[in-house]
Amino acid sequence: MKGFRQTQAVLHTWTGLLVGWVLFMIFLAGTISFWREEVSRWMRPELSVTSAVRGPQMEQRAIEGALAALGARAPNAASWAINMPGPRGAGTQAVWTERTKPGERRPFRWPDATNSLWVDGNGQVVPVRETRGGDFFYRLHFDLHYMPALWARWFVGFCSMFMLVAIVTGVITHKKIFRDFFTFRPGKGQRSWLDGHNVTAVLALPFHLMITYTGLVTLMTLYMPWGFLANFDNTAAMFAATQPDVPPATYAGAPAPLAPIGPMLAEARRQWGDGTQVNIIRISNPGDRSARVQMGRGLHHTIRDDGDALIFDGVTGALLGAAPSGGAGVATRDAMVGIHAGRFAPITVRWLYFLSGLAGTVMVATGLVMWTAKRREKLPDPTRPHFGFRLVERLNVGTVAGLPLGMVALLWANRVLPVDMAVRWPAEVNSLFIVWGLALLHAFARPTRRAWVEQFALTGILLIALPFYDQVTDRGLWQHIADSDATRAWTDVTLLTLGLSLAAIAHRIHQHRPAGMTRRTRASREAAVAVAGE
Amino acid sequence: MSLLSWLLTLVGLFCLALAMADHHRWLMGHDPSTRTQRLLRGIGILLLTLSWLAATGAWGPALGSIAWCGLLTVAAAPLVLARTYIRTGRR
Repeated sequence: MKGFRQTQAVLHTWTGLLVGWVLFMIFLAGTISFWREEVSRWMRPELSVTSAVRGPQMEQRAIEGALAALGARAPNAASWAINMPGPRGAGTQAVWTERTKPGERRPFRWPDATNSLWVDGNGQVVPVRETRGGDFFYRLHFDLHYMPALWARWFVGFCSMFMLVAIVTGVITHKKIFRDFFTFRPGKGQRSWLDGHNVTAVLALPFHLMITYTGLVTLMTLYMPWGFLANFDNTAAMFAATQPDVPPATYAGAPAPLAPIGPMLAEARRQWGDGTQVNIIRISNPGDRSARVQMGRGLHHTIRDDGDALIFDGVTGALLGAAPSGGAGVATRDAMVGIHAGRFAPITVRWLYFLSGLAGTVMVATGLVMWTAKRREKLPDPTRPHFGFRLVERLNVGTVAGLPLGMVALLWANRVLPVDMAVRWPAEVNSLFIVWGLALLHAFARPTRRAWVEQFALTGILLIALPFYDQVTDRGLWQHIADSDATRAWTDVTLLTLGLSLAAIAHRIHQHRPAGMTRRTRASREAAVAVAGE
Repeated sequence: MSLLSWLLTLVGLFCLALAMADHHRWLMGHDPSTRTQRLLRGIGILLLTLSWLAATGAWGPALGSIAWCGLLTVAAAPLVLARTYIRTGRR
């Protein structure tokens, strides 16, 4: 059995290291995505708590306001979409797609200042800075950025598979994780890193296994399409079987007013049962005889992640069809996707998701650092480590400390870029990657330990400064508390807590003296410090 | 109910930790007898079962089970910190 465990250890080490930096980004972005709506609210400070939508009357008012704004702004659009805020969000987003000439294909565009607008809780249009908000982190989690989404999803799926292998081999390799349950021994070098890695892994082990496996399930039809291929001749046949059985309407070119939305909403609520919200409304060919209204259901009522779409005739307002309820297989998949994304989660459960996600992020980070901690003692000459060692060490700094720095840079860009700037959200997103790139360069240019301290300290300070910047320039924590705006208030408190934690980590690394270094000469100590990454 | 569930998880995990020789020595100064160990394990598992019941009572069976897994994590973390940073004077 010793041979088996050793092979598993090797597999664990190298599957973890090879894609570890990507996994760190996937874990961190995914963890932030549990606060997608909160991040969106923070990044759109123009939308106050009064833009939230509570109850059927407000819902109808917001949708009617959005429809009026769309009718005024884009009467000839090919389609409209109305994104409703969830129970934790605020502001209703109205998006339109311009009609193209026959045969012309328009590339996909995220909602921006030229194809979308915002309405508040009263249905009035409000100017809002152009930003992707929390949606950016959500997409970064599986679509990455600057590359086709399909490539990114294959790459993320590849890394997730490695993660799954690393988790299973990890449980086999670290045989002491259960004997060492509840044990963390700080200040003992490599032993402490192993403890930290084990504690964050084993305490949230159900979460890690669940999130990795269900993450693969979310894109299973991409990775393993054979189930569908065996049953359907093509994707059109597959969609026909899973979507409402309503033939698509072709544009008639004959103007006809849209039916009032109120009765359609009432019918949707009757179909779905009381208390469910509309998540999204899509209207194709608005203002035309062929108009269709599709309503998607909010996902707060069940752990299953199904949209339960309804389709209405846009001119008569008659219900044309509902999505067929799938069998047990579809329900299982929907439940797995639902548990992964946690869209149903009330605030307490959401915190549990977030904390478990943070544990996973720390698990990946400690695993990466441990690779160097374990090998440093065995280096033939610790002052001159080989190239591979230096590369891993520097990539660790540039990712584990550099990515959070980049993310904080994005938050700052959201605040300091001119509000009415053209092409604003790409500038925000670019700032993340520019700063992350600089952090990587910095990690290669500075002594490792200095680089850790400087990047963590800077990230911490920038995080702590954000709520203060808001307090001075706009509405800050005190106003949020006075407004009973729990979301914004807790977001500020969380930013401060994360900032203080990172600053404390930077301080600890700065204070840390590797064992046996104190009595040596300054020159040799500095040489040793240069290689003592942790 | 969710707070009750968390407290039950905390005490349940505490019992399971005390059933382990290392942690028992840390708090009590001596190894647990086999009988004590079995007793603590039994109580721990019973309390964890009760905490699961409390969680499903608060959130329903589906969401409750998911939340319970999260509660286990969040209850174990303070135990790890306590074990690490509270010195009992016993080794």
